[in-house]
Amino acid sequence: MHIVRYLLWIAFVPGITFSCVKKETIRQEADFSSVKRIDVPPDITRDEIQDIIELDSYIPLSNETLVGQVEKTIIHDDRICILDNEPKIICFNMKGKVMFKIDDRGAGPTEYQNLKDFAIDRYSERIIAFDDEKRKLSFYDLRTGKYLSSIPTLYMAPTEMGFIDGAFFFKNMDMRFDVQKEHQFYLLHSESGKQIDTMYLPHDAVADFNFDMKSFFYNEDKLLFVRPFDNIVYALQKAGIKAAYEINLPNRLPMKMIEEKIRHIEIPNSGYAYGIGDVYVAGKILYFTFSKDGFVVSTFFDLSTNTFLYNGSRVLANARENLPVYSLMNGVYDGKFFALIPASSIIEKRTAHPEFFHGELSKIKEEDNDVLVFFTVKDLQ
Amino acid sequence: MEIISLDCEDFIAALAQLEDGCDECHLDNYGREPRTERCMLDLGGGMFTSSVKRICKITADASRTCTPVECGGYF
Repeated sequence: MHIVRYLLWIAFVPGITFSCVKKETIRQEADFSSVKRIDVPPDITRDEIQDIIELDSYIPLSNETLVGQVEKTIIHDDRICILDNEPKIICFNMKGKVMFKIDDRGAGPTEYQNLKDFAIDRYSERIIAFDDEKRKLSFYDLRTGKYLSSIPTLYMAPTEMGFIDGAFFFKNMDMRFDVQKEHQFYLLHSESGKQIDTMYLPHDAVADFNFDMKSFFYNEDKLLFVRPFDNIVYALQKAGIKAAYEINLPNRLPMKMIEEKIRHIEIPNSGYAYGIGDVYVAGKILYFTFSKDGFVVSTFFDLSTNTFLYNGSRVLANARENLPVYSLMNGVYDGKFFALIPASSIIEKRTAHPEFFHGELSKIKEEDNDVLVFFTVKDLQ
Repeated sequence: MEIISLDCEDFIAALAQLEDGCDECHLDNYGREPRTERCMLDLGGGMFTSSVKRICKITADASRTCTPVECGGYF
């Protein structure tokens, strides 16, 4: 076997030298020409949200396959695909029935070791899964979940992946592998997944801080990106990246604290605001979250009137008729925000106010899978 | 010797598989490096995040070791 490998190298290496020219990686800057500035007020309420959002519809996810802790949810073309922490990908239809699952952990060539992230390619109708331990991209049929192919990604070591407009984007947060020394940028773009074509957002002290937060947020046909501890939300496109929102948090964690390597455990209760995430836009409403004083603050901002509809940490203390349950938003589909609500959370709210729970919501049991809930924002004008 | 014509990208991928296809080498040859993430506790209508957890990611340095710490654990 070793002799065969040796002969292959002898035969093919000169061929590479003379016939294959790797495309040059371009370093590019983001377009800041149309960024919208949003200054978050310092008064963060502990009051509940007013009657501005309401439950629109919900889908209890079937218990045919139990879902672990949810890492990412993407809804595309009436398919609800969820990556959990086991890890596996399960796709449900809009009635909550399991269509298929991708659950092939192992050492074999068609198996994965750790699914760190996934995306959906709407053009080729494939699920793209990123294995950060075998360091490869695997492709599965979006209709059946059947394994199709894979490509190695040993030329990089990202921590998160996004896919939009036929292009790959990878978050490059650290220097765990030698190959990353060539890529001291937070965002890597690849047209084919086989090499890095463009690099955006040069590294600063955050890259060496070893504190990671989710950065990619799907907004139906748009993909937004936020660098950990940053305040700019970028809209990603094949042709380049655009700064869409500049969100200025009250008492934001200063970069100096990260440069001085504040202890990670001290950050949540430091009094500083940090960690912009869950950035979703439904109609004219921008939703995002951040962390401050040990709580996640949910913010609803009306882009048409530049007003904050809600900026608080305790969104729903008690169930009500139009809003019996709430959780942090996981995305946008068909113009509506959606969130996966754990069964335990539904039961807790239902125990206090059973009168607001009807239909399937009145039958949810503790051991059931999460319920996918869609929310609409009332037009206040 | 007969020259085999291969698409350039496929060719590189084939060699990469030969040289570094990590289907079996991922566990023994890599070390583990700590990373920190926020913890989230669902309060049923709000979210509490006053602690962090340590997770361990693979690194090329086989000498690096890491012990995960759950939310609320000692750092």
